[in-house]
Amino acid sequence: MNIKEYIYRKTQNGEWHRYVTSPRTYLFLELLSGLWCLGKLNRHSKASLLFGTRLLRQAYQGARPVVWTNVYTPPELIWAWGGIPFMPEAAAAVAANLGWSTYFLKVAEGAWYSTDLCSFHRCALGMAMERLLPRPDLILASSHLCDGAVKFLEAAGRLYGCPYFLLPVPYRDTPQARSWLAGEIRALQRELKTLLPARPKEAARVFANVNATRRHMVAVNELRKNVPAPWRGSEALTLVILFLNGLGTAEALSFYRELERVLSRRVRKKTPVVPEQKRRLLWLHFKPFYANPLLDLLEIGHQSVIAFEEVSYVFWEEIPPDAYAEGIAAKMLANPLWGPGEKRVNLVLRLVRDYHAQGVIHFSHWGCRQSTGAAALLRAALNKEGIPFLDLDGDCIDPRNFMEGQTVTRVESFLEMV
Amino acid sequence: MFVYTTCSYVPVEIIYAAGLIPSRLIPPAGEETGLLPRSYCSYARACAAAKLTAPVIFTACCDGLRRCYDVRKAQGGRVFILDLPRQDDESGVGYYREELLRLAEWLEAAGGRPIPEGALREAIKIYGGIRAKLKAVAGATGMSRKFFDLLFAVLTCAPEETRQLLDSFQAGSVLSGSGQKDRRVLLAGTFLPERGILALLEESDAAAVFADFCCGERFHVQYGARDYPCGGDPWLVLARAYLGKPPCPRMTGKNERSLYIQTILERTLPAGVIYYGMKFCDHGLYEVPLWRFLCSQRQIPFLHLEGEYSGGISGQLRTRIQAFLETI
Repeated sequence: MNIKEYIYRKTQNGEWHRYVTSPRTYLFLELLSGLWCLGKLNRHSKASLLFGTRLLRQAYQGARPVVWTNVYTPPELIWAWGGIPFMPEAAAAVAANLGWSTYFLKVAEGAWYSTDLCSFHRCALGMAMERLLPRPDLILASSHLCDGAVKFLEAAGRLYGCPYFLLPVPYRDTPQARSWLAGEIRALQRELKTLLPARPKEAARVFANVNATRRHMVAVNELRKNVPAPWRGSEALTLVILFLNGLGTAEALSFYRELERVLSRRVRKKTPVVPEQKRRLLWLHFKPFYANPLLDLLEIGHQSVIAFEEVSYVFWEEIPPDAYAEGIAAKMLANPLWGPGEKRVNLVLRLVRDYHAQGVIHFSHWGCRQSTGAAALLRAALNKEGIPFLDLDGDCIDPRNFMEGQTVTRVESFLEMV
Repeated sequence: MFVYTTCSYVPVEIIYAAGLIPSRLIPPAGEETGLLPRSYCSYARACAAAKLTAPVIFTACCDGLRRCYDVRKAQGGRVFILDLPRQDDESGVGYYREELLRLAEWLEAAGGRPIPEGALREAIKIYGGIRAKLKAVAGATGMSRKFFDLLFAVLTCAPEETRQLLDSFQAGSVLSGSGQKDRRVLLAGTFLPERGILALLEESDAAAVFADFCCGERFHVQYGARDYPCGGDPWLVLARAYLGKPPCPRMTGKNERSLYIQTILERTLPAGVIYYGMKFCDHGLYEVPLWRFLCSQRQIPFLHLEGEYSGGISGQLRTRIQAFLETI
């Protein structure tokens, strides 16, 4: 019996709540992963495991104020201000990975949250209603990238009766917008002073980590341009949670440093991650996080490696620690998934060229309006360049929306064209 | 020349002051073009599919209309997107004012004339008069079918025609006193595309006492309603007035929307609430549990309906509404 099966069995007899919400569970896992240095677990995976267990331990312990936030709100801002950023959307991905998402989705649906809403948010709401997630001391939403996240966090704020703050992000990236947003960040910091124990030294350390991590991320992305691909996209799509939630921490830095070392060795020794690589693909949006055969079938079964995925692209510049509000504002506005759709289209065309992708798969996650709405634009732009494009309907969190036969048939037909 | 708008947060006064005619874009139900996915708000899909030559102004109000702007732009349409802050504090108002100035520049490039402050003040005065008259009619009649037709005419016509329409409505006292009926229903939602639901209420001897839609109560803008210094700057007046108008579900702030809902429930004391949401509208869908909760606290029956922009009131919806009305 593996660990997932063990945890699943515990969920069946009602003991799950106690185990999942106890900091001791994560302390135990943290110690275990700290000792574990052999076998399949290589160093970068160990760093990611350490990060996850430490984050959950601290959050359940309430060691520092827990700040719920949405994916793509720079977590370094919250680390620097002395809080623990907790992204319920990432928790939903973990729940899906453990096979628990259907239960939580049903809980949210029972409370009248429509099945047409994004399942990341519905699942997280279900988890919040079951009081399974670390209790937020405050909620900080940013208005990019999607409407659902803002509304979901607002609903969560009502559920927990905790303070809710919204960081409004301008639609267009202009010098005036950057300056205005930097002003909003500074105003927010002043407003949060009583709630978060910010220390200037901590901010300096966090932003030093951010910049060092960024350099390794850029190096990793450069290495991934190699043919054959040194890293599997399916693994990258899982571990992307680390930079979304952990940027600014020592673990994220350690993860990318180790990853760069591993990938350099693979490139140097010409030992690709998948032995046979017939095709190189670019993946858009996230992947299904529940157990399913799709990505293995793609990368191993059909030797079509995901050379890169748009969510791993480093779109921001280094953040000056002494003027980090300006740096964070620039980072938020530079996000290619926010603002006019042509930003994303241009990025995808660039990634296709840089990573020598022969085809592009857009995973159209049910309920994600911001991403799926751009599929037609992407198709038109890629068709112009003669790049095959597959708009693959699915769901990242809800296994009930995964039609295996239909999905596999569509992917296989697409691969025949590439 | 007409200039279409897709959101009630676009200040029509600016378009009129530029010598153009603002008109709410209410396109016919379009064919499926594949420009936007099927799991998308049907109003955004209809706006994307509409064959238009006139310029269109979008706001960055929701994912649906942001993507609609993208696809129309990619097709070479004359489009503009107005960024819309969610907060009505000093910072938000200042930002929105700059956006309004940007809109004025674009209108000039799109065929309008430069907007001197005097012309903008005049436009504010004209629309202020129209809104006051409309509010008076709404106060007397509630949201009847005929009032809905009038409102849609106001949203799509030039102010000169609108004033004539309003005068004729007042002079003739055409509207029946639907607000006097026993079964008082509060209608809410994001966008009410057609009047079928109002007709059904009237047929069933019920009345909509309040319509919390962007083509309903949220159309009302009060200039200078807030005690802020504007220094005679009409751009600032407009920015304040629009950000301070009754909030739509998108305007998430520190519980403003929740407080607003509580206020209208207490003010109108409805016998029931019907929430009519467009399918796949995230802002609307997230409001349903909130409405349900606030109504249950006050023991007000609540009905949630989901419809399409062009679907009308189907037999199924009709049955559900009738069954609901029997319970109140």
